[in-house]
Amino acid sequence: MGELVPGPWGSPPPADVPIEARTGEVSFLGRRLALLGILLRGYVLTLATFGIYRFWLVTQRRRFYWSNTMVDDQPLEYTGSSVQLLVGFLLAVVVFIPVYGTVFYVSTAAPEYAALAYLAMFGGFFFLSGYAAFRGRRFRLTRTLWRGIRFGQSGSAWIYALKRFFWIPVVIITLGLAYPAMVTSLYRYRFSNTWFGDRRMVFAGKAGALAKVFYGLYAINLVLACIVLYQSVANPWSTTADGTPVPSMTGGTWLAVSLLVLCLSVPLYISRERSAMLSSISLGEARLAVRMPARWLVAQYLCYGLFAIVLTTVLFLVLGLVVTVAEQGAFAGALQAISTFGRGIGAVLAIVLGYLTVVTLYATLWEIVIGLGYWKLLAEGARIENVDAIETVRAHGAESPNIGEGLADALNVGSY
Amino acid sequence: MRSTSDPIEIAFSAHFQDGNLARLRPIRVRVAGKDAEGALIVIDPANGRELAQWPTADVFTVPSRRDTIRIGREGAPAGARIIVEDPSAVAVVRAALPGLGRKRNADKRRQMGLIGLSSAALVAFVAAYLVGVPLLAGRVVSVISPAWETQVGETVAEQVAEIFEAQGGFEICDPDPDSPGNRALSSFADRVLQGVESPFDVRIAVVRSEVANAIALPGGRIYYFSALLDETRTPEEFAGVLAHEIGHVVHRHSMEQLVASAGTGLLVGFVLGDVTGLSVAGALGVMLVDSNFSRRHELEADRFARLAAERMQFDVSGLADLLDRVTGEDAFAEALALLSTHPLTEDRRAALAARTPVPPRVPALTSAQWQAITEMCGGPVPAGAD
Repeated sequence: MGELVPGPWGSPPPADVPIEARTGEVSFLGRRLALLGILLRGYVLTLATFGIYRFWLVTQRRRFYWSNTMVDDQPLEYTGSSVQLLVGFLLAVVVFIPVYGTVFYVSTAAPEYAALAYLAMFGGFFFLSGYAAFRGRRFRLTRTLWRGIRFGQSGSAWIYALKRFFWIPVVIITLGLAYPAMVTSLYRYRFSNTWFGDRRMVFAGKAGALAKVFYGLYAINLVLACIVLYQSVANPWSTTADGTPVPSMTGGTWLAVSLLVLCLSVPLYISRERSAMLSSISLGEARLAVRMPARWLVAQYLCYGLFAIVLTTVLFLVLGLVVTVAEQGAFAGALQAISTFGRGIGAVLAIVLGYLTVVTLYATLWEIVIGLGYWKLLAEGARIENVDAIETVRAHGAESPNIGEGLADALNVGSY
Repeated sequence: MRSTSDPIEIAFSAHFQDGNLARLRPIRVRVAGKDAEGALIVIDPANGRELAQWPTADVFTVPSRRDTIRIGREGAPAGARIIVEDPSAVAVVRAALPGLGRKRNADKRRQMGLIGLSSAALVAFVAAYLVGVPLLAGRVVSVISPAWETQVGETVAEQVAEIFEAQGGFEICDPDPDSPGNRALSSFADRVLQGVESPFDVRIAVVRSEVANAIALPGGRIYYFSALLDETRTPEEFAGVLAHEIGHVVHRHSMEQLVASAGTGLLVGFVLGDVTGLSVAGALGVMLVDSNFSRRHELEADRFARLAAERMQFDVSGLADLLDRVTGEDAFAEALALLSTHPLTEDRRAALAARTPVPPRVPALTSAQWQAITEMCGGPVPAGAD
């Protein structure tokens, strides 16, 4: 009887019996409505707690994504704590204060260096965001369990930040041609430093794998840009009888075509890049294979665009209604009431709240349509070949760093 | 064992991972004993062997998908779990172990308390900041040397000039310091500053602009815009505005604003989570907090103007008349006034009127001085010049 039970306590199958490597599927069971509920409730509480609740909202979102992602029928488990996020953020603020003081001092005391100081600050922020992203990744990986085993990350966040920082001028100098090399290099650093339990991932990706799609799209867009440029010079805008300039028919058509191609190129490239890079990852004898279909990614962006148009229309209607009602004096009494406390403050408060609400609505729409959609596409396009080879992995390492992600949070890098 | 003596046996099917090896195995779990003293006995369904025994007192649930239960155990490896996914098994667990979620609920309550506490702390901090910012900014400014502030003022003046350049040019009306208009301005400033300890020399200039306003820069520069001059009907109104702006200079309000905005930016960034301070909400928030602060400054400058007027025996209520006229002009101006950093004219009129001395009234400027000033930008002579 014992032989029928798979598991560490059963004896391994005899070596002479040929076993077919089993493939583990990945699926995502999360519902958009459930996420919407989490987000809206979270935003209200965040507002009510002056921003404090956002650390708990982040944790809830992650639990939602993790627990609904089934890898070979077992969900991921997120074990991170909100308090660690809060403490990390507090520490990051402490780190930022002297930077602010310095920049403020320089901008007032030596105004000729102010622009330089701001440039240095933003350069510093960019550098630090690489550091923060890598450190945040470690925080998330070491708080992710699958089959009871913790993920982990070796490597140095400083080295990652330096790599990322120095690739930028290279990409700029080569007019973007070095981009696939940069992407591959950063993927390699991230994934060859990723561990599952005591087993290290191996990344075998090559920049060449991205060459065809990247340079192909690069060339097509370049040619189209040249045609549009040429058309605008050789075929200048005609004018109507009353002198209004009208773009020539051919020029307008080419512009529309090139914009459309550019819009399609981005999701196409994203899907190819993710598929190629993530399919280059193996863990021992097991191998990750990802096929992210570009057309679904395009469909999601279209879907988001449509919903955004609807949302914008609704917002304008609401705004128009408010203005009309206010003009008709229905709010005169309300304004009077506010003015007892200071009319200015009431109005600014209303503007801040209105602004936050609008930004939140768009962010929510983005997350519901594209954030979740992207995660689902990635998950459902992935499978693990020879998944049973993972069964011999042993637990290793602990949660690290203890205080989490503060810098990443402060710099707003690292999603999910 | 306690379990063997139990009359009714409660059991369910589940999966088990031990947290040491990345393997999952089907198990049978027997619930033994009463709630807190009992145990979950993990059994290999293939041979009935006991694999593990988890005391009920040590187990807890972890967050999981709806209608699934994941049970962990204190002291066991972090990833050790009894995983219940079968609906009938979930029902059995819920019925047999009603206290299973207790630890997680207690933890939730603790977290709620923490959220409440930290929100309260943040509110207290913000309140303390709002109350303390004039004090703090004042303290910080008092250690800033006037020489540095003058330097800052030069930078701000350059920026103001740049803004004007972008809108069609920056022009100081009547730049000759010895012109009658400029002499009238500086002699008025000297009279206002008599007996007042000012850290700076006050330099007043009339600047051509469509905007009806007057501003005081750090370091003692004051700009009176031509559009406001056109609106100004009497020398008393003009003198009231100037005395008010000189009040800003003497109290170093512009510098305090600069210091306070930097601090506020940091605070608002903290609340919104964007410490880089690049968001619109951040900028608006800074405005929200600082508008309260600048109201105090306006009232302080009004008080300074009132005292100066008492000393010089001119009628300062013209300041409020002028404000009324400028801000009450049209609906658009009113809408802008909602965002204005100035207190409502009604409040200010009351403040200005307080303890207004009995006459004799003397004109704030001689008619020749007022004439010279009104002609500085070559504009029309306003009515009511005496």
